[in-house]
Amino acid sequence: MSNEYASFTRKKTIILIIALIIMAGSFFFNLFTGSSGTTPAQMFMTIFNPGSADIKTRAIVWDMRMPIAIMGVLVGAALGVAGAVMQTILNNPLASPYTLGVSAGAGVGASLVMVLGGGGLVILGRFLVPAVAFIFSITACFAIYMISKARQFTPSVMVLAGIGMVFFFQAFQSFLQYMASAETLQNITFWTFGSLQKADWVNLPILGGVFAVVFIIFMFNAWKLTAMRLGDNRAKSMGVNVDRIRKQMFILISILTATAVAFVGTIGFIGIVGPHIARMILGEDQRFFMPMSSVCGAIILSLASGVSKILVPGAIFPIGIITSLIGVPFYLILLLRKK
Amino acid sequence: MKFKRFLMPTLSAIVVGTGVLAGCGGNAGTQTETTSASSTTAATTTATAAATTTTTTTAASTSAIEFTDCAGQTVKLEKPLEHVVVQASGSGGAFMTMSALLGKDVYKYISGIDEGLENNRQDMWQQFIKTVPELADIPKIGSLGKDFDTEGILNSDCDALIVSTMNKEAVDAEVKEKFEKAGINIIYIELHDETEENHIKTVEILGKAFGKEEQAQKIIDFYKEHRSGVEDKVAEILKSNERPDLYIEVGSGGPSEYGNTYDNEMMWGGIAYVAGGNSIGDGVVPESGYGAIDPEYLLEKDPKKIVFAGSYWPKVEDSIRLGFDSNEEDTRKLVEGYLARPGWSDLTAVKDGEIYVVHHGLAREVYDVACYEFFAKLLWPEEFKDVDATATLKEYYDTFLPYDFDGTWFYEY
Repeated sequence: MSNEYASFTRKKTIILIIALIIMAGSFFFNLFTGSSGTTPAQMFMTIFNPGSADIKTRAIVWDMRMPIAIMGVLVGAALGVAGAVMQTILNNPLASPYTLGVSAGAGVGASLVMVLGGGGLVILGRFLVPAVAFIFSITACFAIYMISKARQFTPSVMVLAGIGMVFFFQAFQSFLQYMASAETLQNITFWTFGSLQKADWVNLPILGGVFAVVFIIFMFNAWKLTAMRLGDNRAKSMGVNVDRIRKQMFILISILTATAVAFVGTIGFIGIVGPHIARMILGEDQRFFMPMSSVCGAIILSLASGVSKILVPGAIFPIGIITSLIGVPFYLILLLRKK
Repeated sequence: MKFKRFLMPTLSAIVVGTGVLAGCGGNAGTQTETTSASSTTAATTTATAAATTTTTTTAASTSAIEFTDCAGQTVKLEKPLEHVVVQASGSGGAFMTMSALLGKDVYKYISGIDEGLENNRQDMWQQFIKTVPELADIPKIGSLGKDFDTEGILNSDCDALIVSTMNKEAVDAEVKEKFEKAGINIIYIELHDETEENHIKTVEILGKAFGKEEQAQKIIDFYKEHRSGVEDKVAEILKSNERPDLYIEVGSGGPSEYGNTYDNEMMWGGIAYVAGGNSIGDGVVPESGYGAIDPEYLLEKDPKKIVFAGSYWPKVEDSIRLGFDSNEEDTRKLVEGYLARPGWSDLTAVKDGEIYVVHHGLAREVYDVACYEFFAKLLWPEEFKDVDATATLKEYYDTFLPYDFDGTWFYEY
């Protein structure tokens, strides 16, 4: 028995390692694509010996390609694992990190800043929009938390509260768009499309740090989450405090997703598609399912980012559109496949 | 028991039946009303027709004013317009041209205006109401496709709606029928496409519509003189020179956002093209003609000149400011914020100091002829060294507009 289990675990570990290698590949694909003629050789030189390159190449490599590529991996990983855990705690394979209002809240926060301007908070500079987007995301999640708390955090209540939140914030968003001038409206639209372009060496460590902490906590709870996959009652009989786990995981998902969305906008479908691919390959064992969801999310987003740079040479095609265009047919196929 | 089975169908039949009868009855009622109304109007028209033929010598079939507007429609007016509703007051609508034609009295002719000028060109609005304070009292009637106050306009004594051809779909969908029934004319002008033909036509038809043809001709002459001054020379220059690359960007989002650039047909791109330049946004931006460029591509293309479009965008602190409420020092600092973007210190245009700013509100108006001169001069400094865009703009203001000229509209770093 233990031999079987050992080989079972070993196989999964090997697959995970292969996936990590593919992720590295997609990272480099993203890193090496762009509309300037910068060759991989030039890039490597600039990475290891920045002083040798001219200012332009240095800027392209260190201020554009590198941050965007790393952000692609981080956001993909963040949304992937957030989606995985969300699907577990809501016991619904079609849930995503945005199900519970994060994206709607973030959209309102960003639009609010664009329409009303910064006021006294302008000193935050380029962090103003992310900060306000984050605050509104957390507010939306907090509202859902309070509603769910009154009903013992059952999955159905959380989803219903989430739906309510989404509608409310979308109405608020529409109102802001109505108030906006033509130029502001364009800015709002493009923010909601999502973009990795604002990645820099300040927001990367922030997201990286949040991701690391949250991911580790997720992994510590891997066993409990796997138990929850057997159903609430079974899990409870195994000694898992299902309500508490649901609550804690929800908070962590909210913080991680809100941070990611604040910096890059609402990039869709990574949080659904990543976990699904992971589940199809590795199954429900959370010790593997969660990391694999991260890796799959990172791969998808890196590839999408690379494509967004070369689809229209000289312009950046909105990445959220690419992930949605791939995601929607995928989502429908999964829906129809579900037994 | 059996009776119950027939209950539902019977009830439904009764409900439907009443509905049908009510509908028919209603229609019949209105039909008789309209027939009686039309017979009375027929009676009155024959009476008026009889009256006019006996009192006037003008042929009854031609109107006093007739022209073809920019959408190809024939517009017939009995007399010059007295009250009109305008749109896009800060962005290529009729307002500025009307101001040039009608001077200080322009407010008397406008019975409804959109919020564009007041909300999005605040500095211009504030300056204009200094000399024509009555502008502030003109009722706001919203914008087509958004919050257009159709009812309010139908209730007023307005003669015409003047819009850009870009609004044609919205007009056809929302208001065309109602306005035609109410006898409100719809006149299409076109300033967005930046063609000489339509710029001149717009001034011409507005001149005819308001009975100010002499003034219109003066404006057209001014426009023609300055524009062909640019176009003819540029045609000569291009015979032996390549078009220089330039990068145009709307500096509305602050340095961290790459604002819109244009292809060679749209707005600033179109003007730059006529002035002999080539926008690097051409072929890159979507069909609409504008969009943000990939920062990497810009570094790669390394254009010789960079032109920002500035304005008054108070919500974004580090956007580039120009216009009435600006000064050169502030503009310089704001531009430097943009020049500090990653990789920009290595751009040819930055190293050579070939950075310029033009006011974003100047395009899509007749006075954009000054912009052609500005672009021509920055692209071909030697050949156009006698040209002064600011002076041209000031001349237009002093000669035609009832507002005082002030502030910075063209800036050279």
